[in-house]
Amino acid sequence: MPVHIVTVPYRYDEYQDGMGRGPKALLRSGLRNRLDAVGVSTSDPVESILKDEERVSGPIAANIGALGRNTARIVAESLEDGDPVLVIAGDDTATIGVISGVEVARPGSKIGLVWIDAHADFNTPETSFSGILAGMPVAILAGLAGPIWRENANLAHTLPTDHIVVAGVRMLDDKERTLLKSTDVRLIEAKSSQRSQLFEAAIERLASRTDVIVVNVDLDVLDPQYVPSASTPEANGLSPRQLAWMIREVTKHGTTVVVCITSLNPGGGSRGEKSINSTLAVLEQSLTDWSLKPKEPADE
Amino acid sequence: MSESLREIVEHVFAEQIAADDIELGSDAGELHIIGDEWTLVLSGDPLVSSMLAVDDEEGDLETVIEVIDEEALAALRDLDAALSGALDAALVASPDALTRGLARILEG
Repeated sequence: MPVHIVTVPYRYDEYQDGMGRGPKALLRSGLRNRLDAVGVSTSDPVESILKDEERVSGPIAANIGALGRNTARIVAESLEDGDPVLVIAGDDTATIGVISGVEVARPGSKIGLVWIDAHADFNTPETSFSGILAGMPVAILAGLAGPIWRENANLAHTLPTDHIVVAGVRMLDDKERTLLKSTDVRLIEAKSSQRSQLFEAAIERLASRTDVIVVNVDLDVLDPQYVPSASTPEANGLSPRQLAWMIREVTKHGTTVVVCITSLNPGGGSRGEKSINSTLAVLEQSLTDWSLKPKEPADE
Repeated sequence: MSESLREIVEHVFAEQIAADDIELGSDAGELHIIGDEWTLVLSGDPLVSSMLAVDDEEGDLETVIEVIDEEALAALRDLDAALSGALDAALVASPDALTRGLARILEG
């Protein structure tokens, strides 16, 4: 069963800017050969592009949404034949479009989201200290902010918060924590001594109450020693093995339609190379047994 | 051209090797990192497996903490980062409990 590769080479709506160069860097470093060597065949990558004529006036979020609409279309087409999709995106603002694509490909399905990140990305414009859009995608998917963003990405439904698991978190703003705690999002912080057991239990619960799952990985969840070029590093992170285990814990249920890898900064010379190599190691270790259970026929 | 495993180990442990705190040896294609009372065997290049031996054959995890000093632990963490986590993966996959214990110590 091949894995479709979709790239979103953007930092927000800027093509090939900063982390937007991550997808190409990963492919140039032999991602497909490395996956092939461990028995994972892949299709030719398809790139999501925001054309000039598709740009809209207004805030950046509007154009991120417009880019998301194209990502959604490609993800939906890729999922048509029943094979899973690996999305490699510059940053995790791309995930709004990814979820939108899953919504089209699996109409009526209950979608679950596993967000693996050093940050919860559950800020809204009201709670955010920095105003950084990359710190908001989960809140936007949950419907707490960003209606224009969602609308431009053609995302019809928000995700119920009990369909969201956020794990690996090491940095939470105070207001963000308060907002998170007011929802049913399952939060598993990296500092928890029981984090593996909590994660297993959360994924079991999520798999039991959803039809399909999307996994989003922000690579800053890895310890900075493995991704020294990370633009938002947080100490005491995961090793590639630990991250690969988490991804496998989700994909083993056979309902993970998309794994989305984001925020690889390939710059910084040897630091960027080290980050690329760690990312390759994670993907090699995590995708080997990834497959989807056949779709159940729709009710008449 | 990418560096060989031995070159990476030599680079990471350069100070300890220069100070004679660490020696490198090889046997049957395996690379040995040899401390005062411990040896870490690395097999394969790229690294496939690893095994820790301590001179005290009855040694447990406490022994490992005693015999591998902080500088060596820091260098092993650097080695793991240089190998994109392959050392951690090899240690954890070991059938030997002491070797798996070293992985936990390196996690901190």
